Amino acid sequence: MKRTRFLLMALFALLAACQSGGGRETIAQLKDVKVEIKEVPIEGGLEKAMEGYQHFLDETPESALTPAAIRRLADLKIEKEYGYVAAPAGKAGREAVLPAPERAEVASSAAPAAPSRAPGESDADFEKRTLKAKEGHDGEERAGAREAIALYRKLLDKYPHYQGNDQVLYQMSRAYEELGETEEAMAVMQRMVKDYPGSRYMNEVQFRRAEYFFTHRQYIEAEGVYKGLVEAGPETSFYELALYKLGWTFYKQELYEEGLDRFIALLDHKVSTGYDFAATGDDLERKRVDDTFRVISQSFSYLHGAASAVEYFEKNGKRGYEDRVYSNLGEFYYEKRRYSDAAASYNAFVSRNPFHRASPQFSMRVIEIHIAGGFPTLVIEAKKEFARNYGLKSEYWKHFEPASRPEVLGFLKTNFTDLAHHYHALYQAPEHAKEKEENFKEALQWYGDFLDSFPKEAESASINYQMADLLMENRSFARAAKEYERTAYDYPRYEKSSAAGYAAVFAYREQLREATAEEKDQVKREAVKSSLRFAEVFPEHEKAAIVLGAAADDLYELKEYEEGLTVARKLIATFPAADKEVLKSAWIVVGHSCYELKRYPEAEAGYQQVLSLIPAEDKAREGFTDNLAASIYKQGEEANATGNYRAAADHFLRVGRMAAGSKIRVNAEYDATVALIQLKAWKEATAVLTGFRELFPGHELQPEVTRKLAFVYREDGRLAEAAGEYERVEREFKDDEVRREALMLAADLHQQSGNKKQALAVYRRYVGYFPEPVEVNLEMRDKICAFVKDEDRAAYLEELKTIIAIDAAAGDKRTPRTRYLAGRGALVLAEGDYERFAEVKLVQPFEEKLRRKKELMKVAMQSFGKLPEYEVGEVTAAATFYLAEIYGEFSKSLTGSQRPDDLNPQELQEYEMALEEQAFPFEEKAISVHEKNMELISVGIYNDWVDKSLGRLAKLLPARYDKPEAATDIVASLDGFGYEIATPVAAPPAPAPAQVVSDAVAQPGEGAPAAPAEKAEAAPAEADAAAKASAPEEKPVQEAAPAPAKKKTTATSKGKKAKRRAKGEKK
Amino acid sequence: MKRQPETCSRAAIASSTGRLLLGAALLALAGCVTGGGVKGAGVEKPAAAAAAAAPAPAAVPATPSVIRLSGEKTGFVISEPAPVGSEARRDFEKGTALLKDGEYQKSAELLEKVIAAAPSLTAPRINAAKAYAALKKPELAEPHLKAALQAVPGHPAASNEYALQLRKAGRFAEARQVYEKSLALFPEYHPVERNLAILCDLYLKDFSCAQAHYEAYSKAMPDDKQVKLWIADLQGRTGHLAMHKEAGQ
Repeated sequence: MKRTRFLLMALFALLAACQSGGGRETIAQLKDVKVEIKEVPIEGGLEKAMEGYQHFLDETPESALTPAAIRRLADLKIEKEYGYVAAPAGKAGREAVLPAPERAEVASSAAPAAPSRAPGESDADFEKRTLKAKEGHDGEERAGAREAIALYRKLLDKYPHYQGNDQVLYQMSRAYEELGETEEAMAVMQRMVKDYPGSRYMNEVQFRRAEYFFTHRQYIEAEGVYKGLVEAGPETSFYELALYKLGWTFYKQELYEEGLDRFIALLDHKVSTGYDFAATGDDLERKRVDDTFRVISQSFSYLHGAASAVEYFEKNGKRGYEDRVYSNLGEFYYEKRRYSDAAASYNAFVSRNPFHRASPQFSMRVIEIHIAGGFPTLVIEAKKEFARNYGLKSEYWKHFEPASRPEVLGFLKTNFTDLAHHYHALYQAPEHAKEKEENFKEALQWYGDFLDSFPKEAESASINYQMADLLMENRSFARAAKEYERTAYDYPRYEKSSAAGYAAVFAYREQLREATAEEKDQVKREAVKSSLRFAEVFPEHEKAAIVLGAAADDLYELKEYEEGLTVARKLIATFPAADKEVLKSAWIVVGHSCYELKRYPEAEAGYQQVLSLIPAEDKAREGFTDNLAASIYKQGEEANATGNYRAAADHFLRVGRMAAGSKIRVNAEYDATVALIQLKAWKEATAVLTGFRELFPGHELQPEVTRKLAFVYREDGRLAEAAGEYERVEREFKDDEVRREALMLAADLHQQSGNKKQALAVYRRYVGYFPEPVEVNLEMRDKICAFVKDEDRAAYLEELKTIIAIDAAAGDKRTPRTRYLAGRGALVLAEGDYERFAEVKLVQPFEEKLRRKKELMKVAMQSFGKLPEYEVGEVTAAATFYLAEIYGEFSKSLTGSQRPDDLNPQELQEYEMALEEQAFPFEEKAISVHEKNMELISVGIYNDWVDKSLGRLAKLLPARYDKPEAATDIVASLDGFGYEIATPVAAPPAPAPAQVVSDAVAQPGEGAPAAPAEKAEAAPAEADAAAKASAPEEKPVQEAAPAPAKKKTTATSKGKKAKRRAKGEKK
Repeated sequence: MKRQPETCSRAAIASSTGRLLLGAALLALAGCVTGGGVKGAGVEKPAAAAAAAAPAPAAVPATPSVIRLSGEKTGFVISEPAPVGSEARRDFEKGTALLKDGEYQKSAELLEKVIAAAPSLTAPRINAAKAYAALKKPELAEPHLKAALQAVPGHPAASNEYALQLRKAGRFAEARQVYEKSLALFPEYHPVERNLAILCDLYLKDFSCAQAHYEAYSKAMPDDKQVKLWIADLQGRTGHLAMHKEAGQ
């Protein structure tokens, strides 16, 4: 007995546990529990117990214990048949032990956790599973049960007041149920409700009854009974079940809101009793909660879906587990492929609870639902929505720590990536060409958002790369380049880092192709910068050398020569095995840059390297040969600039040796001669110049070469050759000035070399070729004059006449020099006139000679009279001198004229006196004109002619003009100079007069110191005539006609002589 | 001759032409120059007092010194310290001898050597200047004469030579200044007095100047009858002129 009780208690405890765990299959599970209990070894067993009770009844007279024994025996019989016995009376009682009569079966497998869904389970199946209790019996007739019922009836009948009759009834109702006789069972339970309302079995009995009504669709009855149980309070055993079933009862009556109230109340109850929705400890309870959610979902679905849920909670207050309601509703719809409703359910929650912990998951689920539903547009929209709401910069993350939500971040990443890829793909799709721009923007935005939110993830570099690709495809080269650079350099190295680096360079290159002229420079600099970085960071990249080479090229084009040079040299040093073309380009940059930097020796070396990399037959050699030549040539120029002509010449000549075919060679050869000339290396210069003549026939510099050769010959003392070259210069040049100068030089050189004939020929050629400038022409004619003066008098005089004529006709081209030359020429011609005049001696026949002389006198005076017009002091003074001389000569000729040989002494004396009278005025005139010449001093003219006049005056008027100056003594001592004379006393002996010298008497050969005792009187010519350069008057000449006035007194002449002597007697 | 080869021939031609033209210009200038102050700037009066106050010779003269003669003799001795070697003395003597013999070029060359050895001495410079004058190279003479006059201001021989050369070049006013300065310092050197008188008479037509200096000269050299005649002639002319002037008034 003790044992039996123990077993019952154990059963109860189990049952209670089931209830508290919320297992809706509590009743159905009883069988399983029972099996377990049966396994517990029981001392003696049922048979032995029944035998005991039977024996007691049989053997023992009726007593107070009899009813109890009958009941125990009946219980054992049932236990024997069905494996369980009635629980002992207790608070929780056994009411929960029995399953609801209609429960036909209990789902053996638990429903999945929320969002719980049993795939494939229809609403009907769900209802069937959740509402139908397993059949408590198999309907099999069991003898033991019948015997038990009989025993119970006997007990009731025999002992109507037995205290345990409520238990008996309860057991009997169970036995009927076991036998499938539900109506009898209900009748028994009805009797219990009536007779034992306070029985401890009442809740269970009522529950069973309600279940019966429910099962038999007697929902009104069921509702009443369930309500009663619920109202009994949450502390009662059947509260939760009753609440649950009450909900269902309303549900079945399509009173969904009433039903929902109960289901929600149940959940509220669970929450209030500490139920954790997330906990998964008790599967049974969890499953029952899941089922509750399921039926809630169904209820809402019969209303207006998510909208009703929203409305419900707005009306009835929010719940902490609301998210589960929505998610269950969503999944509910999802199972039914009602994807829009499913998404709406999730969205309804998210929109009201944007910062709920579950919201991101719900949003994710929405995307999955759209995917499942095959709504790509909605998927994209949802994904965008998600990205907007949960990007790392969104409001959401103010409420949560991103690190704590890896699943959201993961999804966010996926989302960004998906969106970016999606739009990227659309962008690429030809069929979406129209939306290309929009798709580009979208894709770019999502790539960008990814990188903004996840700048340092493992996949960030890859995403960045794709973003750069997108930009590249969109020909947004500048941005593409930046993104490629970022990909290459801003992330830890990954397999495509170097490719990105190269792509950046490539993007810049593409940008460069489309850049405007103003942009090009900047883009190029960016490209270069990127290229250098690429080559620096990824030297192992197959394109590193090419990229570096291109950068060097660009730097050169940007005129960043120093940097370009550095890069090119780095390329050469770093990639010695690079492609030949790449190396060649680098050497070209080295050459060009060095050239620009004026580092010509390095440039030369660079170009040599370039040439070494170009095949002999390649036409490109020509240009680089020119460059090589230029770099050598420049070294020559530099040497020139510093005055190092030897080095300069060597460099220039080196051009010919090292780059014979270069264009600049001709200049180099030419400049070599210039340097050699500076060095006065005449022989060498001659060789180069003559070489030039042969090497470059017809070259435009040939005339210059000729000129140089002429110069070099001249400087080398090869005057004849120099002259020949200057003649050639005259032929080769077109410039008249050059030609003129060359001819002048040629003539001069011919003259210097002693080839007078050729010199004269060249001068004549000159005056023929170049009538102008007039002055120079006359100079050359003057030179001709010098040549022919002594050898060809006629030619000389002819040339003088030409000079005079040219000057006279020169008009405004007349210069002081032309006047001088012409004046001097005219003087020479006038001197001829004077000589012809002077040559005529007054001999017999006197009159004829005198006439002749007078004629010639007139001619000469006219000639000299014109000379002052040249306004040349020297010529004017000469003319004045000669005019005086003409008078003097005439006077002298008269006094020295041949006397008639038929005169007696008296007549002769008279004749001579008459002659003197005639001659005297001419002598006076001569004096006066010479004195006029002296007056030129006062106007600043003093020259040999003035001095000559002084010399003549010294002869003619010695007392006045023969005043020689005291010459300077030679200083005999180095130590000093002394002078002493005797101190003058009254009559001391005169000291030896100092030596006197006079210019006037220094040339004793000139002039005629004739001193006739007397001179013939003659009318004096105007003294001014000479100074005024007017033609002499006729009068004195005429009056000087030989008219020996034999009758004239001598007193007159003597008187005049005396008068003159008073002026300044000759010594 | 450093010329750029491109232009050398032209330059050569130009210089050749230039020489010709320059020569012509010089001739024209010589012929046309309108006397640079013929009438002369202020004439320094012969300053006998200043000359008399000439410094007495120092015991060890480092610079030229002048000794004035007095008593029966009138004159002076200019002493110049001549710290030169025997070779220079020989060259001087030989050069001077060559000058006397008319070997002007050789003389000048030797004297130039002496001048180089003793640039402060006047004697070789004066003699060299005479040689150059004879060689018709007054441009080489002038620097030496100027140097000599700087060494011994108013040096009579140097002044006389310089003034003569200036007169021959038509530079009459300069010649007069040189004479006058010399006379101020060495009034006892009469050749300068005479030459200044002639310069004023024949070339400057400054007859009062001429008369004054002729008279001064004549006073010192009373036996020079010729000069007395010149004075008479000059007086006749100036008197005649004065009479004309008076008549004109």
